[in-house]
Amino acid sequence: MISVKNLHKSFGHHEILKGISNHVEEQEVVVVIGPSGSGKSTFLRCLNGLESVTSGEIEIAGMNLTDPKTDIHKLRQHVGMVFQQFNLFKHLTILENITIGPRKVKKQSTAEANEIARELLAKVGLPGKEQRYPDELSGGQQQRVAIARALAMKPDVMLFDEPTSALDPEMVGEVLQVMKNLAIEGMTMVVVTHEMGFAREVGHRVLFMDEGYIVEEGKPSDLFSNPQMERTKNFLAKVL
Amino acid sequence: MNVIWGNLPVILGGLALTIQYSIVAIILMVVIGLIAALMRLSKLAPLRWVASTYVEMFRSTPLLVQLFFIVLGLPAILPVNQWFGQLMYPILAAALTLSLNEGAYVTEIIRAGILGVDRGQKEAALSVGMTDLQTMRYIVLPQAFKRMIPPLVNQAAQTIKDTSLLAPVGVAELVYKGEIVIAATFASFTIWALVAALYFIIIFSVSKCSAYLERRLQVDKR
Repeated sequence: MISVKNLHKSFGHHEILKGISNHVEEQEVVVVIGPSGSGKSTFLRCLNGLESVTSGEIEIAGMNLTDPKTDIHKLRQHVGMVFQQFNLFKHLTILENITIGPRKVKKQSTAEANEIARELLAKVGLPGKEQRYPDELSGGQQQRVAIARALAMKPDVMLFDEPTSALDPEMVGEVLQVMKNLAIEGMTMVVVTHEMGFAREVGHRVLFMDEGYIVEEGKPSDLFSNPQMERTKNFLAKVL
Repeated sequence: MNVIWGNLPVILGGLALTIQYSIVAIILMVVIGLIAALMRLSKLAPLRWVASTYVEMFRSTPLLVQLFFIVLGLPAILPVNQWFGQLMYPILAAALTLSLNEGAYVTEIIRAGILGVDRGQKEAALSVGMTDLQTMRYIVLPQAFKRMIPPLVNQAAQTIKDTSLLAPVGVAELVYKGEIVIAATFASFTIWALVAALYFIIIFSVSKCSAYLERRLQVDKR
């Protein structure tokens, strides 16, 4: 589903990603962990072209992102993204937030888009909020709407960029539950997170990133209980 | 009082022209400002240069000089009177110069409004597959517009007042008509007071309407 070959990314002279290669299978849930500044968010943002790639190759959802001939907008329709800061459209209602993508990009009819949006709102546990505005909702609710918004495009892959980092502790659980349900349904997911509990419980594979490299990867049970690399051990000792 | 009543039709004729020029200039300045702002934010360098040059040229010279130059100066070197008509050219040129001048300020207002929208909004729009144009139209501009209302109203008030500078290039608007009446009646105090009052009434009404509009949009803070 995702294939990354020797991905490099620099901002000016500062190299953030120093050669990332990895392969994500369909229906796989990959959790990316690592200290801040390790390049994990940049890596994720490269996967849907929000950051341009300096060199290397990315194939995602059957399209070659690094081929200049690829229509990046078309590609993004197949790659959902959930942001740390939710980024709901502030001037639109919850229903419009979810439907605007399908309506404007996929040219779905309003009726059809609304119906799908209502189903998704029910799925993320927020029925009846259609006419509210984002700032009337709690952080946890907003993030669940953001997940519904991404799902409305019927993506093949979902990317999560620290989806619970901006939330009050009591709201983290509700968002993780929605993500867990998604994983159980078989969605292919790449999740950058500091939630080690989620990584252990839901992740099929964990990537540990540090200083622009994937230092170590493995099954959560192996990586958490028996890390091989010194840097992984140090990091896990601090966060577990 | 007799001075006022006797010359009211003349004065109101000038007022009508002031209002007409104001409406045209306010509409055009927003259109021009939007286009130039999008050009200034474009990825294509030549578009940015053209727009920046336009803004700097019109912002760094006085409107009165621009009007003299374009309305009275250009016909001396170009056959514009033949192209547009002896009577039509000054009207078009005056309206366009005013609009271009105000548009330069509006460009900066709109550009600042667009830049003020959180970057995450744009990224979220792109992430659902919207093109840059769709992102601008459905997500960024609607949010930018709300915060642009107060400075745009300010600029509209400025534009209405700036129509008074059309008098020296021969547009028979409010100030021009006021001078004509004063030349005939010598009632300088009364007529200038009347002219000032009429400007005040128009601009005050505009700002009241916009305060109402702003309240409507701010009720829900969106």
